[in-house]
Amino acid sequence: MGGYCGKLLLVNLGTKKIETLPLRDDLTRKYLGGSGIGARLLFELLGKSIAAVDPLAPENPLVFMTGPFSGTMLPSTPRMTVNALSPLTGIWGEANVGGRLSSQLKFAGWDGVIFLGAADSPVYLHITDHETSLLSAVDLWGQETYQATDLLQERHRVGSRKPAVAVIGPAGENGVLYASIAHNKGHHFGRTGLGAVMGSKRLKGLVVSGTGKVSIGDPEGYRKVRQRLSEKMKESLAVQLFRLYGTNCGIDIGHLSGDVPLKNWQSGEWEAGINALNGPAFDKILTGRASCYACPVDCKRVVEVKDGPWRMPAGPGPEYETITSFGTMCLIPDAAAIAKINERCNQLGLDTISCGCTIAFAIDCYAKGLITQDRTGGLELSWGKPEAVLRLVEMIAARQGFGDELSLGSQRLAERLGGEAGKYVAAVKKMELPMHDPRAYHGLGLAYATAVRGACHVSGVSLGVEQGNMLLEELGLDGSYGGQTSTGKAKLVALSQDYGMAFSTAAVVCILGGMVYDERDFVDSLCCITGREWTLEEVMRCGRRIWTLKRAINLLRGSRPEDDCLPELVQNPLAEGGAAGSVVDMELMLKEFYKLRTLDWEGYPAQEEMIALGLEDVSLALAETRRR
Amino acid sequence: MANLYGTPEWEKAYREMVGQRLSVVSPPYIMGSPEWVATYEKLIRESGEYKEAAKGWEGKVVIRVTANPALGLDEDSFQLLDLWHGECRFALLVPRAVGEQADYILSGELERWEAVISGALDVTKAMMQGKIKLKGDLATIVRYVRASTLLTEIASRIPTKQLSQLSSEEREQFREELRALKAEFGF
Repeated sequence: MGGYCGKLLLVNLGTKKIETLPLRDDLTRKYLGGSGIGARLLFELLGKSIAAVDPLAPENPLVFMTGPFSGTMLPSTPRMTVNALSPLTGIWGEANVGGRLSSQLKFAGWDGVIFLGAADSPVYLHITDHETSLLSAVDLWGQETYQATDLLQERHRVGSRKPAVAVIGPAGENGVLYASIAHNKGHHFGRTGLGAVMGSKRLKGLVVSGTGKVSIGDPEGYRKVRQRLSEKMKESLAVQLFRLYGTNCGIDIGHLSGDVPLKNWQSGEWEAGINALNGPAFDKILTGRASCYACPVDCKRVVEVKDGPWRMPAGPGPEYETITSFGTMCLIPDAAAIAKINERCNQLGLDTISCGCTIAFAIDCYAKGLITQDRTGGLELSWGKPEAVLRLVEMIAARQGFGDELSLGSQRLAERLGGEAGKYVAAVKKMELPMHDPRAYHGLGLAYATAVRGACHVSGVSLGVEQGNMLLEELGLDGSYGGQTSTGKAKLVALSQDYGMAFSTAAVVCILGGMVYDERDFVDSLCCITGREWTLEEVMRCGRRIWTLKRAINLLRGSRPEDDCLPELVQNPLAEGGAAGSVVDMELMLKEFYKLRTLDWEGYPAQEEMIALGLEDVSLALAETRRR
Repeated sequence: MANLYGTPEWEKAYREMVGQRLSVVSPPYIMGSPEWVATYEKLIRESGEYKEAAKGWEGKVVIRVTANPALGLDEDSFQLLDLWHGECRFALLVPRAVGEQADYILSGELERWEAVISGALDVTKAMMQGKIKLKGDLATIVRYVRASTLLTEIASRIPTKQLSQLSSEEREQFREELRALKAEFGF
């Protein structure tokens, strides 16, 4: 079958034993790849212990998975996922990344790597076409990600060909609950804190070099689909915009529509700040553009700050989520300062969304008198102070002083603070909201509340559909939705989740690609890459199965219906801006959503639904949990 | 063509034609008719909000409506807005050769523009979905998102009769009027 190498690496870090596992046919057919297969593997590997395993214990499996398109030349497909129980949320965790890691892994002959156990001293995994070995990382432990990446690429380069590297920084080593995994410096498995899981296993990184090829099931069909998609990419305004200003291209219009969060979600207008943080503002420090493997978009930025307090050499520039997490959330109208903060987060290995939002929450609490200098160790927190934010970033990665409390994320910090603090947190299932305001797009509120990894806007594609940037007309998602209404959104969100689970988390197509691929392109791509027949109905069932499985994992971990909620902070109407006065009707949407998903009052999917999806064993596990 | 576009004679004749039509045609105006475009010009000029948002904008914008003979539009229509630092210097129907030379061209089918003007289709969404095509320097346009949105909002305030709403008699009459205008003004 095309698209897959047909095998997985199983690495036991405790015993140092490395084995080959066949990639079972039922896994590819039912779960496609990426975090679809990752979730199934995690469920099988943990078995009955799934409810009790500490995410930072050796028993938590860490699964790196590619998708069927990884390593092909289809546009927007060079992504892969990492999966484990999340130390930040305590439930299902996943993050994905672009770059070159997925293609290198496939070229070396592997669909994925499963890490079990924990090493007794730091190690990294080196994978080539011919061998796989665990090597000592004692000399790398403590190093920041850029330094470790440079060293490993130099150590394992073959001629001019550098390997793909994924490493953790001090944040992951120190167990920051939102530590990221950095791939080739600028690409990050950002969300859900799986860098801390790597740290708990004393696994510094992966170094991968492959020279093989991915087999294509139907080469002629592949040629035609590639050609079609290539033409669409050339025509697409979204692609042109992303090339021009990167993922930050929509910040101006986002601000107008009320989509961009400001001042810890409590302000609706900041024109001067947006003008200081938009595409043209970053053009002043832009020195180049970069792309992921085989992607024609070039959305990655290379920036350099030549002088002033935020001086930094040419390196990866901030994405939209980072620009807003630190820029608009902390009210820092300074592109160079944000570039510097981004550089330090990259080097230390921190998820910029959780980090920026936790700091914004702390500043807000400080301004409201809920945090004092006794707690911060004398550090004064206030809006618009990049020096203090940068200091906090360093303290978080080192878990030093107040940074130790911040390293737990905003939800846990609020619980420690008690009192009114909980009112100013914007997190779902303990994960901070990404940088899109549900008051501008109500369906997004439901998507956040019901996303399987905590607040997430990319595992389903509802935001793109609501914004009108994605058209899935065969599914009845025709781009004609108004943002600030809750009516009809439950169906939109459920369909978008099913599609997104298959498209962006299992086949691991870049969410930007979703603005170009329609559902026919996706199904045709699957058919020609795998050489199997796929229908849209099967794809949607596959997505629904994956969503249901991940939700079941969360239920087994103790998740409850009350966790399917939107924080009060983003339910309060704003007084000004594009979403002024808008209030999300969560009760209506959740009621409709539960019905569509066959969820009962305890949030469990109906047994018939699970059997119809081929999840009989998962259904049995849930039934046992309920009996207890 | 009686007069050549770009000459004072053409402009004088055009303005007289518009004035004459405005004196006999009552609103709502047919979308894309000379009186509709003149009203658009007037409303843009009156908008303080637009003036503020478009400070610094330089460049001619053309709204190109692709032909739809079944609805009465036999040829592509080009509405030229000469916009300069928040001012609308003029809004005119222009010949194809002129329209195609504009700095920024927004092209779409008649149904799409009708949906935009009626508020059923957001112009930004339409551009992202490829329903309306944009030609011109993207970097500049992105800087003036607010001004672009306001131009659409202003257009939606014009008392408008869509071509799709015309009776067959009205449609035939409009078709004939356009033919006569083309003979005189070249559009």
